[in-house]
Amino acid sequence: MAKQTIIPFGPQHPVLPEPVHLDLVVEDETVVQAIPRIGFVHRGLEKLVEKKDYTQFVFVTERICGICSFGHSLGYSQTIEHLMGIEVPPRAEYLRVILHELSRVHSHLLWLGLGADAFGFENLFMQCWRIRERVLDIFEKTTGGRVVLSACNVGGTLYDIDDETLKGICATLDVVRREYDAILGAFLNDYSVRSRLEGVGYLSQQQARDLSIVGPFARASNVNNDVRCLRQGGYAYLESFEPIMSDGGDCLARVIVRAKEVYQSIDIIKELAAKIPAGPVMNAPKGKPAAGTQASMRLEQPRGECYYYAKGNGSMFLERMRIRTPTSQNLGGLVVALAGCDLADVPNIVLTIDPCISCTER
Amino acid sequence: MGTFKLAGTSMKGLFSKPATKMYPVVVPEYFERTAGHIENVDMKSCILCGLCARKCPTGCLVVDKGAETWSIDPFGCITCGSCVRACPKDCLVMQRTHTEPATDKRRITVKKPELTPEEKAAKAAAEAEKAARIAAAKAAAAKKKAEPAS
Amino acid sequence: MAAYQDTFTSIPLSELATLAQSKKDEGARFINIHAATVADGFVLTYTFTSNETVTDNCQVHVTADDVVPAISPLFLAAFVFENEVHDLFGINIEGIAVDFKGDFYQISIETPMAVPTKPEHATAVNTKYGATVPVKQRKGEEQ
Repeated sequence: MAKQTIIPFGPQHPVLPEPVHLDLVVEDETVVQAIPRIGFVHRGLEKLVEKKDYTQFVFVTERICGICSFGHSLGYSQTIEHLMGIEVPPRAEYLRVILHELSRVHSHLLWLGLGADAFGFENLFMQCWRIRERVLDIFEKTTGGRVVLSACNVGGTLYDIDDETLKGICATLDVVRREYDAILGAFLNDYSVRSRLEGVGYLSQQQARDLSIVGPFARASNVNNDVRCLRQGGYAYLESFEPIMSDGGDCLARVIVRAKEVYQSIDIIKELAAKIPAGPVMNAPKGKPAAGTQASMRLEQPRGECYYYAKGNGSMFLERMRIRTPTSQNLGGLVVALAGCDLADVPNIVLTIDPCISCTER
Repeated sequence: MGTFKLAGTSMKGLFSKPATKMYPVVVPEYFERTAGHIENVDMKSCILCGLCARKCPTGCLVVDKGAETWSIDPFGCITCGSCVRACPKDCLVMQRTHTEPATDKRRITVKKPELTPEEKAAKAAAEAEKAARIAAAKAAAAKKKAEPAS
Repeated sequence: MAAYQDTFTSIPLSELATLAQSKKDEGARFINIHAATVADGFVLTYTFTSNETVTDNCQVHVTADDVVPAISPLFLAAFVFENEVHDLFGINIEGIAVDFKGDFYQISIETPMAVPTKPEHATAVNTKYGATVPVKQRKGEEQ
């Protein structure tokens, strides 16, 4: 009879971008069960809505997470616009989608680097992050911040990007694409990378549906719940949008989905930059959310679908603000994917759900 | 087995200069919009209205109308730019360089400059003229009230 | 611009279990559970989407003494949110699939989100958990 040991994984671990704790019940190198614990980065940000009024709270939402920072400010702004019925100028919608897709490129490049580091390929990790620096320079040139942009607010964007800068952005993205092509072969075709990722952490399509998982984690198991298909906001101006799917269901499929999404984001940015209209970029909100109103909103962040809820009470402060992030949804899927894997595969599987634990416990 | 996929990139990396800069020995070139720190560059035009302090999400700005000072806590500032947008006289500017690391958190306070003698004289003259106008208007209104309505 | 469609419906607590079962049977996807403090209790919002287009928010009014049936046996992903709602608000949820029994978030005060900081919540439910934080009038609230 095999002996069961409990091995703690995290909260400090070299592969984790943020602290999460897993108690792994292990029988002779095979993980039988995984019990997650979170709460190491809980800052109680949802209660802070009582102290910061609704135009100041956007700066708090940006700081929930460093990787999906722009996504949270965008989702929050869209929720309040839905709550108060504010129209956003078209140029602002284009700019928001351009910045959000740049945010997706930077997030996926960061994740690819971390994934490479998880299976020991440090050279690839450093190359991915070097390419990512070009995207961060674009952010700094246009909005002033590398990670936390402070660019989106209720009613539009705070900074305008003129057409010359947009052409420069497209030129930089061509360079990014060339450098990315050079390293992508290592992810998709390298023998040792494939042997570490293929067949690991498999989730079937039915399991993915039952566990309600979202994002590239679900799209790799052929379940599509990409909110960009709803064509809200600036996404309505795209000619067409097809989410990238795969039916591999294992870690390699998730890597391939994210790797291809970088190309898709670059194409979206170029398409929108070519046809952006002129006009104002901010329609400043007047007044306050009426008492008794509530609104919800969904947004496709790099990690999956994010759900926002806001409730007004007639004052400048919101009554309740709720942000449900994709990683909290995917924790159930993680627990099931870890059952039955080898101990050495645990870092790979934990990373392939793209954990953003600071988002999970704001 | 396959070839070494990163051969091209690694060879290029061997012979080109590094992608990292030796900060702080090498000072980087910041961009025009880089969110570095907030500075009140025009204290003369500042009317001490306090709009910047009201808009600030962190509460790091303190405007004292009595003592005629404007102060900021640079380590509390999140460089969001709300104060720059709120200032009606455009006194506040977002500079590119970042706040230097320090061993203690101190507040930066600036006081409104003293007026020069010509400016004091001009201000006194303007106030005297305004007082004369108000007195004349009051006298005219009293006279109109005393006369019977026509 | 395509408008975002969401619906808000109110259901009584007794119908929650049948609602969860019917959503599971029709293959809807579970999105979120969260709670908000109101004057005489809490409002739990359960969010699903049946066709990936319309977001259905179903709201249930509960008090601190009500026992709420868990939906995580049907939707495993809900265990995160049910534990969170139990720890932060003190709502009694029974039958959570992976139950941490109050130890999910290691917080230092009981039910921090239910601590009253507004006058209208002071007389409500939170006294069960010994919330004795004095209620302050916030500057700007009367605006």
